[in-house]
Amino acid sequence: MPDNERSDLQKARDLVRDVVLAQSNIFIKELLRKKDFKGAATKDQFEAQLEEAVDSGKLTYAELTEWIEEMEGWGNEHVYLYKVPDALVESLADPVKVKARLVKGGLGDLWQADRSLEFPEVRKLTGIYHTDGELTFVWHEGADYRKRAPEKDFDEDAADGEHYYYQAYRRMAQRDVTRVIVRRALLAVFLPGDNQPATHTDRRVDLCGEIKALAPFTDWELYSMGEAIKALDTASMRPSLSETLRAPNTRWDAKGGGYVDFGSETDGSYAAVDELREVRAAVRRSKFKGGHAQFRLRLPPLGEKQAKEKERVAKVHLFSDYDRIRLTARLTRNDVWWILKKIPKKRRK
Amino acid sequence: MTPDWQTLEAGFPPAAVEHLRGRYETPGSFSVTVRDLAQDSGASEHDAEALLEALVVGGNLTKQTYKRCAKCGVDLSDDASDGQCHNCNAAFVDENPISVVRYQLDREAPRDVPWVLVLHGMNTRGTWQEELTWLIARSYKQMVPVAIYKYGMVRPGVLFGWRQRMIVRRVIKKFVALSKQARDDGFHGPPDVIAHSFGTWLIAHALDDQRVRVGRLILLGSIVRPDFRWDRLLADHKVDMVLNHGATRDFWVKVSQYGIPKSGPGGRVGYPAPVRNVAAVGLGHSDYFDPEQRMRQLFADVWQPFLRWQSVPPLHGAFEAPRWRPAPLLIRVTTRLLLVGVYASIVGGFAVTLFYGLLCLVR
Repeated sequence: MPDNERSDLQKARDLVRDVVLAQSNIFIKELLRKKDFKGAATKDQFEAQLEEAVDSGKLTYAELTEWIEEMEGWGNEHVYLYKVPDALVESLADPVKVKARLVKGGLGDLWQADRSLEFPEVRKLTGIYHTDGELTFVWHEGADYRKRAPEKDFDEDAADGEHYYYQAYRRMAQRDVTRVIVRRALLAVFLPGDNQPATHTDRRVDLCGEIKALAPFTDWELYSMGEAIKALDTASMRPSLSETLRAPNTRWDAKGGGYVDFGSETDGSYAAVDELREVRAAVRRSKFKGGHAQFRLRLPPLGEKQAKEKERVAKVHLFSDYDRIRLTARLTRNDVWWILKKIPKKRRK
Repeated sequence: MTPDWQTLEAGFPPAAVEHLRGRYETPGSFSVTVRDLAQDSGASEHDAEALLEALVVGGNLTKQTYKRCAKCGVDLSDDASDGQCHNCNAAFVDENPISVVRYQLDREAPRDVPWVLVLHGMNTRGTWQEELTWLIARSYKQMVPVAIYKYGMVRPGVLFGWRQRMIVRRVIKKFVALSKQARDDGFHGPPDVIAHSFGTWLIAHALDDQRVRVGRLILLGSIVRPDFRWDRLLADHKVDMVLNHGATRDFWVKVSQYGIPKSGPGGRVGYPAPVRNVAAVGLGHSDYFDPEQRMRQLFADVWQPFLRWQSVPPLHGAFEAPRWRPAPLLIRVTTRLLLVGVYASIVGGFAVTLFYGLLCLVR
């Protein structure tokens, strides 16, 4: 076997062990299905089947990296949607113009760069890609977070005469992928980790600073999630959409101050409950703003087989505060774009 | 699937069974926990759980466990876990998420009634309309605007096609104006219509106009011909659903075809599906509204369920329309000519009397 092939095989094995197995089981199952491997249910079984697929050549290193790009870092993140100024839409959709400006801005080496598997401690712009009119900026970061490790807790009597309790946290490594993607008139910023929206403003300013030659998006208009909440909540009340779009929780902010919270205690729409629907009917949209809401969207099936299995539903949280979208489940690239397409792009009124 | 309530009442605390039955008979979804049911019905938690489990086994309810943050209560089911709550950042090892078991029935949401138009019949100024409006206003917790359209007493006018057409044009004009006002004030969607007697005829023919579209239509004492093409109007989405509530002792519906052009005993004979026919047994032409207690009962048992459920549940007194043939044309023409003649002679006699009276005065 030639060296480069052996090296690809080894890299594929490493990828399986380090990256692939960290993804959601449902996605791994679908990958294996496409390669005619069935029946695995646990991570150990998935690992065994993936190794067999790699060793037999059915699953190549190139296919794995492509698959990871589709899966890794999608979902469980915050998203901000900006309106691309009309004057820039065409130039950002033109790869020749984009490349020329990148080279001029000193970022030419990142143009269509090989997919990086590097995750440095400090966030790093690892590639700029242009495919089918879509411009993508990708940053990688080897983040870590604390996870409680109660088995390492202890307590002791200290020399000062007091008794102290110590709680232990394990440092957990994590591969964070940050993306900024321009699709025609829409620019989406995908921020993993950190639940504090106030810190997102600084992060967005930092990201923008790196790509300002092409997309100085912090100066652009953010789409209003308050308006999106109003539109989606109203749509969820239509009988024709009740199976695909549900609104278990919505907060309506009164323009005069205060708010009304509507909440279901199930995964169904609150407006499917008779008493709540009566109250909701008294809410005049013109007198309220969307505050925040959780929507449940039925996702398209991953594959033909999956269509027959349990339906996939994505929880999508929208907040008028900072105009942010919060996805809390792991998803695929296609899932995320499907969801973003469903969110009304409305300007603040 | 509807549970067998009698069997359940024999095996479980009746108050708990009654409580759940009430929820089943309310449109829309519902969910309860064991504790909810025990507290609301006074049953023990053990009995409440046994009842709910029996309904799960019978396929009447589903049982679902939800994961919630112990600190902020946000739903964590199906979320990717980073070991902390995505809402309040509580570490799960310190604030272990709690599991909540709910017994639930997922059904279509209740239907909204955006606004209601009420149309009365001939030979009346429709005083029942005020009573019905008051009843509707009390029955909904949210505001449901009710528009009453009064076109006056049209006793002999219904005998003439030109007079019918004139009133239909007026109804259309008013309908368009009311629809715009409702829309401007945030009441979106076509109105539901409750029509009686000649009002049923008017709305049926007003639907020919492209500007007129209604949600659900309730026909009371309908004089629209039983072979009227409701199916076409329904297929064209000019009307969402039609309920024909016909009184079984309605004399005027029975004889309408002998006097009023393009009319028939629709209220008594019924209409082919998809129109829903329900018989009001023993009632006459205007008995729906009087006494008020009866109107309230009919509203609760028939009209309200028809308006509020997306998929209307089986209604008591439902019947299928038999095949109908109008009375022979010769008889209908003759009776109409007779009525026109009587009317003309009354009007003519009155005119001659008036003329001679005036002549005498002048002399």
